[in-house]
Amino acid sequence: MTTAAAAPSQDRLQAELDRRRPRLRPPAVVMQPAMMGAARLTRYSFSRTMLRRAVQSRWLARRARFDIDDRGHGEAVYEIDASGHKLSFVAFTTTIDESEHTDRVIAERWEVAGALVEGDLTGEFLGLLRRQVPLQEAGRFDPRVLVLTRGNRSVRFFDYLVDALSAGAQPDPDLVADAGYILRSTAFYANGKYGMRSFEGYSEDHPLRVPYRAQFVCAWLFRELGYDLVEHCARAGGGDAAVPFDQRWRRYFGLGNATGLGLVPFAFKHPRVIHAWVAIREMALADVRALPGNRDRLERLDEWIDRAHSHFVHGTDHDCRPFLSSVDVASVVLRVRKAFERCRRDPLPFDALYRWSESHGPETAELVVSLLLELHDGDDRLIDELLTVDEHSPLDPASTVGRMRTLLASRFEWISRLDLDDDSADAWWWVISDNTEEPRRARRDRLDPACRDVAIDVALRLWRLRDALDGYDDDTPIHRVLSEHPEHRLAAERLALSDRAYAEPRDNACSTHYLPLLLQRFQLAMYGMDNFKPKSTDWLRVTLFQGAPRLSDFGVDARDDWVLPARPGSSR
Amino acid sequence: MAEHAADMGATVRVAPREIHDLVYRAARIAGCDPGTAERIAENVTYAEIHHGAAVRAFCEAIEALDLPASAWATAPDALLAAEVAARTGGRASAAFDSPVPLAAIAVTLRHCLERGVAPIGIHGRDRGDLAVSAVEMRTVDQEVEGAGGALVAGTGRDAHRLGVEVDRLLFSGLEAAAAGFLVAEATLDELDLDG
Repeated sequence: MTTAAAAPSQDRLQAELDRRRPRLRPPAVVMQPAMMGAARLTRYSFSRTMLRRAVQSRWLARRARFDIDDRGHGEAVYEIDASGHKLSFVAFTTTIDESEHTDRVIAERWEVAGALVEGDLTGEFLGLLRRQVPLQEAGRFDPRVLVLTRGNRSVRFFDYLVDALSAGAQPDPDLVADAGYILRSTAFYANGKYGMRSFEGYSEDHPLRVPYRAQFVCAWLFRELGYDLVEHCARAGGGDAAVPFDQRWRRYFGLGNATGLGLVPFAFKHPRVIHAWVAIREMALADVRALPGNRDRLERLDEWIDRAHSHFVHGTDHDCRPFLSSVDVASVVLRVRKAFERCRRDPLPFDALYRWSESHGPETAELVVSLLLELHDGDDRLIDELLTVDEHSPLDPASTVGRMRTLLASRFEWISRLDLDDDSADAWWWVISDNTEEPRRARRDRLDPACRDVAIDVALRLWRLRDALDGYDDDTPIHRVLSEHPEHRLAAERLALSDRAYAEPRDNACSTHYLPLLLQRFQLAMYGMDNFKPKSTDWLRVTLFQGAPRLSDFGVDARDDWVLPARPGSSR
Repeated sequence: MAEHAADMGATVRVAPREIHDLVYRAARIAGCDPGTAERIAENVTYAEIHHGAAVRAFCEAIEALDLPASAWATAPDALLAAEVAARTGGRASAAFDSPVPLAAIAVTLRHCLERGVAPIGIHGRDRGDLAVSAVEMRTVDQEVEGAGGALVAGTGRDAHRLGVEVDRLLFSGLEAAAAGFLVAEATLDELDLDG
């Protein structure tokens, strides 16, 4: 994502923000951990923009091969003609014992291993994929391979769904409960990992030259495979009695995902990327808040509020702390509906609704943001451009200590409220495990980092830089400080790079009190994931593409109103 | 892929980020702070793409040198000091305590060039293992630099699109040097269990 061509789009993003400045939410609100940890998928989440852009660009998609046996073991190939670029999702499927199922990224065997590739799928290439893809991180790839992924069947529901369809029945809504997926993935590797193509290796006009576009094409086809596997196994077991999913169910299931600590370092390492994600959402929110309430808009928001209620009320009341359970979110939606009744005659009803929500806590505020954004009609081509940012911004060695002090005060004044001199502020360090390179945390008093720390201690480093600068005159050039104190180089460079309003999560990842789930949820929401189900302080399960168009819907029924589907035929 | 024709011989095709990540980790384990390790990684990756022989130069350095105290860590600072001096005086020079491979300063030179200060006598065709003991620098015409920048960008794009050929043994050595950056899963699990 570091390209010279990205610089103009970055300037464009800044211009778009400047145009809306009086109506934008301030970073002090948006980048607070609690607010980030309440984020929800929106119209501009990557899963949705990918599908909209694919439809707008008239991509063609088909299942090209399905050599799968009765147990669901074999190979499948899905092809996409993406504006003349031939993409294939190649999947290798098997079954493993239930005891080997794990959500951890470190598992060694998977029921589905797949790759998104570009180019002709020759016999030679397919043979290589057949041998390398199931190896996952231990495999070796070349730039024809764009994304590597893997996952397992849902232990609870895959066999149930097969049994139901093979007996000629549709799933019982009450037995499916809150299951939103058939297959659950755990990783989507791309961007040069294991020899795959780098993001910068896509040509300027390549349809996948948008951050995360390739991963979401891959995830969407992964979800399609889940449906195909269930229906195939049902046919194999039930013969003529078997039925496919009916219209009520054929889009209901998404793709599950289990996510651990790997997201956290990304968010702390890419300030301009995070800024772009947040800025696009905030621009759209500012636009909607400025809209007067005509009948069409008011009715559309009514519909989205109803839709959200129907979706969440059919979920469970399982403990999802620190987040709300699905049923609790449904209660919030009811309060939003009442508040909107009071706001709808306001000259700016959407602004009034947002202002009401802000005083009712982050979950309410961010739910309202996600609903309001459904009224926005932005230019997806522009949004794609704005997401591609230039992360290249070397520190000018002639910058003075005085200038650095000024930047610290203007860009990082918030660190002074994090109690960074307290022992608890530096209690944890971030580490990479030797097992599939999974990021984890370790307590400093239990294990010495010994130069193995992942340097995402942004707030601590900036705080220490501030102290170090005390020993220098304002006129001293920064290169002199850094040649004497190289340990502050990273902080000084971050200070130069972090030149955007929404660049920094205002938190300290090394604190005793740090809760990774908040930043994880923010990123997952930006991706387009929902149904946040924490399993500890460090990892959670989510669902994506629930309700989304299927392969056969492409170009036929590809409206962008598929999120928050209601559970079919629920008794509640 | 491991069996890809290009990878069966003495070389392996790798993505630029793989070089970067491994060099960073190896530099950390050699004792460099994160900022210095990052700069070394950027220099080596850039030099391998544009000059070649950079991974080799780095692998030799971590075998032989105390990396944080070596010119690999300090030469870029000398260059930056010279750049700042040249920006006011038109010309300046940086002399290193000991000769340093071009691989250790390649992207730093590039950044100087982007700010209008160019090295004299160092060329795009020079190899990454070229030993440099001093660099003369002068301010340059931004338009001349613009044309050179486009060429550099093209080479970089190809490396990202097609990968970079690196000696297989050297790359394995780099992987081994970087492996110490990772902590054993069993150790981390034990810490978790102990609370």
